[in-house]
Amino acid sequence: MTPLFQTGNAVRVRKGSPPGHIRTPFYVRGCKGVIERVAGEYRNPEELAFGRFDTPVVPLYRVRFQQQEVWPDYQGNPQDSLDVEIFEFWLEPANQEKT
Amino acid sequence: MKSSHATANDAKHVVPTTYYQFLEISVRELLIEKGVLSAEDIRNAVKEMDSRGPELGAQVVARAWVDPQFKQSLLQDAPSAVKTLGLDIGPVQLLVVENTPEVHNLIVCTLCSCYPRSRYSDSLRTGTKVVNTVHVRYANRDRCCWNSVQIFLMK
Amino acid sequence: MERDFTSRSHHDMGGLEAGHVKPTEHDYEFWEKNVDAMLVLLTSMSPKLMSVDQLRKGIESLPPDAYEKMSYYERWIFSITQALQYNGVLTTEELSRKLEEVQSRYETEEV
Repeated sequence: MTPLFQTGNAVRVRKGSPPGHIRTPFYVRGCKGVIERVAGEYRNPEELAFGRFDTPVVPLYRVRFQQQEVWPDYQGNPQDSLDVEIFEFWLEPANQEKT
Repeated sequence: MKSSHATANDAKHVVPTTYYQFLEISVRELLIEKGVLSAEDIRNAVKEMDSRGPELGAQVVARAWVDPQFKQSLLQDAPSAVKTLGLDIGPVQLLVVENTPEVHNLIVCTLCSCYPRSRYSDSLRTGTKVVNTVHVRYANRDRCCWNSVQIFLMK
Repeated sequence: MERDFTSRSHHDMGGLEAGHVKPTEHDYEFWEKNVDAMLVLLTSMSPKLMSVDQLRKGIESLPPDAYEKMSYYERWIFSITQALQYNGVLTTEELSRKLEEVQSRYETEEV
C-alpha cells in the first residue's frame, strides 16, 4: 500500500469518533501537524480489537504537533512539540477545507 | 476484600481470596485442561519476563555513548542495531530518539488501557525519561521545555 | 482553535489532571505474573487466540469507577476472560463451573 503522506506534509487529525477502540488520543483530534516520518505499515488495531486478525495493513505516521497547537493555555517553550503515532485513516491533508 | 501487594519474599505464597484471583486460577486451569497452554508454558513465560530488566536497555545506551557508529544505526534502525548486541526485541517496533543540549525528549503513553510491562522493562533509555501511565498525566501539561513523544507499541 | 469535542473514554486521559504521583517500586504478585504470562502466550501463539488490542478494548469498556477501583492486573484478567469468550476459546458455562469449583476449593481451606 503506497503511503498517502510523506515526511513534511501538513496534516489534520479527523474528528469523527465512533464508539470502539480508538488509538488516536483525544487531545489531538482536530489538530494540525506535520508528518515527521512514515513509520511503517501495520494491521489496524481498531479492527484487531474486534477479533478481526486478517485485515490489511495500514500506513502509520509519526505526526509532530506544536504543543501550543494542542494545549490552548500552553506556557512552555514555543518550540516544544508533541509526536504522536497515528494511522493514515485518521489523517487528512491540512489544507482540505471542511464545511 | 482486596489482598494487599505482597512483598518480594512472599510473592509466591499469597492465598487467593479475591474474585479476580479466583478468575486467574479458573482461566489458567481451563486453558491447561483444554490443552491450549501447559503449566510449563506459563512458568517459562514468567521466568522469561523476570529475567529481563532495565539493565538490557542500559547496555544499549552505554554502547551508544561510546560508539558513534552504533548510535547512528540505533537512531536509524533500532531493531537491527540492538540485534547486533544479541538482543531480540521480538515483534515490537522500536524507535529511538536522542536527547541533546537543545532538545529533551519525554516518552509518555497516554492511552491508559494497558501498561506493557514486558516492553517497558526492556525499554531503551537514550537519556529520555520513560514514564509509566501514571506519570503521563503530568508530562503533557508540563511547563518545561519538553518534546513529548508517544511510543506506539504494535504487534 | 475550534475543536469538536465528542464524548471521551475514561482511559483516554492524556492531558487531564490526576493528582500527585508517588513513584514506588514493587514486585508483582504470583497471580499477576501469571496473568501477564498468559496474555503474552495467548497473543503470540500462531494462530493467536486473542489480540493485545482486544485486551485494551476490554479495559477501555470498564466504567470509570470500576476502572479506578480495580487494580492493574484485575483489569487485565477481566479483559482477557472477555476476549477468550468472545473468540470462542472458553465458554461462559465452563468458566462459571470452574469459578464455582475454585471458589469452593479455597473457601473450604480457609476454615
